[in-house]
Amino acid sequence: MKYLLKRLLQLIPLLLVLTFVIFLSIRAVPGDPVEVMLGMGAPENAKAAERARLGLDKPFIVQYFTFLGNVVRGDLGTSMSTGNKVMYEIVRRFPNTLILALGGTLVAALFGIALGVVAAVRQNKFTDNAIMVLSLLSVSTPSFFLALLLMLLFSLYLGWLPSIGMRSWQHAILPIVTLGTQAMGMVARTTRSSMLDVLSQDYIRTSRSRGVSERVIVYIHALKNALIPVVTVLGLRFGGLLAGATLVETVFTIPGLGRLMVDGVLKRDYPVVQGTMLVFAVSFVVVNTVVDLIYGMIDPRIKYE
Amino acid sequence: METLRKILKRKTSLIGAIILTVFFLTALIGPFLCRYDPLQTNPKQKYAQASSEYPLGTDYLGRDVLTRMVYGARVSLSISFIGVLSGALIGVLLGLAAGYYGRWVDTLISRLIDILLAFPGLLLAIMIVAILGKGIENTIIAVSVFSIPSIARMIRGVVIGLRESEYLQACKAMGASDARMIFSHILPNTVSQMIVNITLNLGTAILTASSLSFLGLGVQPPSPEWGAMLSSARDVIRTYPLASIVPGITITLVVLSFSMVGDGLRDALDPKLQYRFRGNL
Repeated sequence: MKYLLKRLLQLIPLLLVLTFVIFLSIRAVPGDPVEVMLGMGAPENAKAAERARLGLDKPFIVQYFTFLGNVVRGDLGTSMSTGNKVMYEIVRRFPNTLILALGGTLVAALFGIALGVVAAVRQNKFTDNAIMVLSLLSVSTPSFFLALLLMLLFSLYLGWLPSIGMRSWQHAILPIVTLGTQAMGMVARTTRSSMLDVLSQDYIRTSRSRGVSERVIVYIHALKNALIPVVTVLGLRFGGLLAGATLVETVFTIPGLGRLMVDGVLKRDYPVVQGTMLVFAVSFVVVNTVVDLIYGMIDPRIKYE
Repeated sequence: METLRKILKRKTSLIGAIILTVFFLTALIGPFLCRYDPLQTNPKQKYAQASSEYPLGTDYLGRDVLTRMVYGARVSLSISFIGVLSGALIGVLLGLAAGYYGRWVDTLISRLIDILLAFPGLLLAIMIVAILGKGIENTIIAVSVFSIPSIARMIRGVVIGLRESEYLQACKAMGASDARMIFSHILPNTVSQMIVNITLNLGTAILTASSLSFLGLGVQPPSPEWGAMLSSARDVIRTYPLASIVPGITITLVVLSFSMVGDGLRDALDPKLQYRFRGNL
């Protein structure tokens, strides 16, 4: 409990640093945002008025604290291209990205762990080699290419699943499979090496000599301990999939957070870029903290003081 | 020599090394052998199917896909090499400083590495492009920034392990300067791990750079880059699948090869792993 509180308190300076870095980097973008908004050659007094309206004439540090105050109140500014509140645009899209990343992590966990266990049990045999090549292939294939291939096969040729949008659960299948496949390789490799580590330990040999069946040893005694590092990988992969969803959202034309950010970058819509970066950054910090906490819970050997 | 023999004995590493050699040669001499200009458009030959004239067909502007793939090898491989090597240079210096000097230098650098590592590579790359703008130079900068943390952390770990070793203590007692300690005695000990890290990063860099270009944030048209080529061909994937599939398979193949060679190098160079392997027997 004390540890949990400590971890949560530690988040405050980290989030302050992150908001500052994001705020600073958006200000570092060359070009005058007011000029982007009003167009080149706008009259000087109109520009000055706009600057005053946006508070850009105030000192930098004042601007930062105004920004921070607004963020705390949930106000991320207004999109320069749509005129909507940035918070509104994010809230509308974040669930889609979250569904893709959660689904992808689940797929990666199910198949990655299963394949990793099989590979470890059949170490250095054909099955093991085949699974390792498959997992290497899965991490090497660009997700946007895999997404296109799946779309070509299952939507365009076979017509089984819809190809674009996010209107029903069927729409989520191909994007989730794409993301899951990409993360699966890493999970399978981690599970395999962790299983091999555990299977060579003394307590497993003791169980074997006591005549415990191989199935119970592998699936109950060994897997439970072997999963500890896998959980970390899954947590980190979940963070990676939140960002990686951007590519899949682009292929399947899904309105998600990553796509919103990329469109913001392309249109030089700075409030949108700033807002989406902030949401991503906060998500990663939260995910990393949760992974740390879960790690401590499932591995009693780790004591946090 | 021993290392090379070990790597080539592994079948997957050998295959990876062969594929990479082919792509390096393509990037180096391929452009001299091409019949077409990668940028010359030819509207009459739009979306030509594969034929003896155009072995992989043509794209939406009538440009030969094979020629663009060959020139694209040059673009993609140079982005990846320049980006990763410059990132490695910065990463190695940071890692050496953090590991050797310890204390507040270490704390500062380690926090920086932690923050960089907390962000997925693609997001970091998008952030950098958001600040610096699109284009090939900024893609290289994005690749180099995302290569920094992993190598810095690895080098820091190696240096901390070496710092207390007897031979370094002896050096220090003999009055060797910091620079001499770092560059003549510590750095050579990190080379093998450095090579493994760089090789594995080269593959990831190709993935990141092509992803950026696919999103429209990296290399800009009309430059031939594999990710950008795939992006421009995906609208017609149903009718002209070859134009998307060729760059897609190429990226996969190159990334896969870097991983296979990198894994082989790690097994051959990392004595810790060999020990563990024996332990398993």
